[in-house]
Amino acid sequence: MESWDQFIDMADAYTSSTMGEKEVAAFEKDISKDGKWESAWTLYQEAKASIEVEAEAHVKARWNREYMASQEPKVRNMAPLVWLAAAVIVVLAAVVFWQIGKKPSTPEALYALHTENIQLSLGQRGTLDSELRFAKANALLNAEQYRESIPILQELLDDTSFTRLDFARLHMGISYLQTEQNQQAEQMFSQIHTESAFRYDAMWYQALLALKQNKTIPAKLHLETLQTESKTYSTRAAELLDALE
Amino acid sequence: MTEADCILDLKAGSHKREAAADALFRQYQGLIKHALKKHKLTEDEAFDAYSDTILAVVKQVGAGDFNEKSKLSTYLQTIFFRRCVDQVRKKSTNPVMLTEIPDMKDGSRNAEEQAVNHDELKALKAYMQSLSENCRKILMLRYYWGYEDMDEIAKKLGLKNANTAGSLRHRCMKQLMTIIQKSQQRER
Repeated sequence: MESWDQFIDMADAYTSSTMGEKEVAAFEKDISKDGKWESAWTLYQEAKASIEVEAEAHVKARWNREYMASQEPKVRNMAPLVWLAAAVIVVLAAVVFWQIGKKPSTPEALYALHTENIQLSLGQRGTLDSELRFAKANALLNAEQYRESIPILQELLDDTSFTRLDFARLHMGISYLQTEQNQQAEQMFSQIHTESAFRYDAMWYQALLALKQNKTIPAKLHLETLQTESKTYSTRAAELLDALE
Repeated sequence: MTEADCILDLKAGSHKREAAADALFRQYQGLIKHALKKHKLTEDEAFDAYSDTILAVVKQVGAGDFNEKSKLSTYLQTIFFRRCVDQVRKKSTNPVMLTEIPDMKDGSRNAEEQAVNHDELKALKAYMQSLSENCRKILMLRYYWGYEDMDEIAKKLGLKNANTAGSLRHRCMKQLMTIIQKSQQRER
């Protein structure tokens, strides 16, 4: 053998048993007696072991993605309904807080309507600035402008006079979720207090987030808790759990 | 896919082996749910046991080490049982009776061997990670999936022709061997 390329070709032929008898004898002599090719043979075997480890990891990862996808076809089909449910919650929350009588079509119109209402109850709710920001954030959320709502919600969280922190965290989490910022969404939902009135809303979205990321096990844990503890989400959680089985 | 066809394709190598491996994986997926119930494994543990089983079968059959005296499905399920027991043993303080485990070699590492050789496995993985993506792909196609036709490899990787694929294969294999050599020299 004179070159590494030749060695590799011969090693390949040797390991696949496609060599003739004389060639086998010559090769075995080289890899047992010749220091250089003896080391090369050891390195060749190590290289093949390394390739096998990498290839198996690669295949396992691909099969895992396929398996997880195959376990959730009903969840995928239900996704539009789940997001519709989320949108309904956002709309209902806006109605409760601003008593919306009409549905403006643009964020600016919504913002204007909310500031009009807010001035009447300023004394009860907090500073004008924080209420204006809250109104603007909700207007953006209603218009599904989630990315734009995030900095406004962050300002609210940073505002020491604003008291409805968990509500802002919930909606910030939803906005992060809608804009594919999953890690930030999880952080927001996790910050909602365990005694908060929004704890089950947060848990519901954490379950959806986990499903979105194909993390079936944490999703099921959240859904099982919701099924037993939350009147609002009990039925939907049960439906999702059935779909996941 | 019949068992006979599966065995033939796994032995054939190249795209046939890849397709047969995927078909085998899909055909017996129900075993994962079985492991969840019978062995009380988590979904991740059951999936690991199952995918390791399929890989072991692909390796044994591909290397011509499956003697075909038993059915492929029986062989696969026996390996799977061992893998599940391995998973249970990993997290249990009570040893599982070895007499319960059928004696059937599958050539792959069991859980204990994997634990002991964790550092070795980590090193083996790291060597490949030092290569370019194209190098990793061509080496996996040639040496794991058994693609021998350089034309086929060239088409699969979008390379110019068989000669280009052949040169790349040599270059990448030499590169990998050099990385391993340097790493071993550093350890001494």
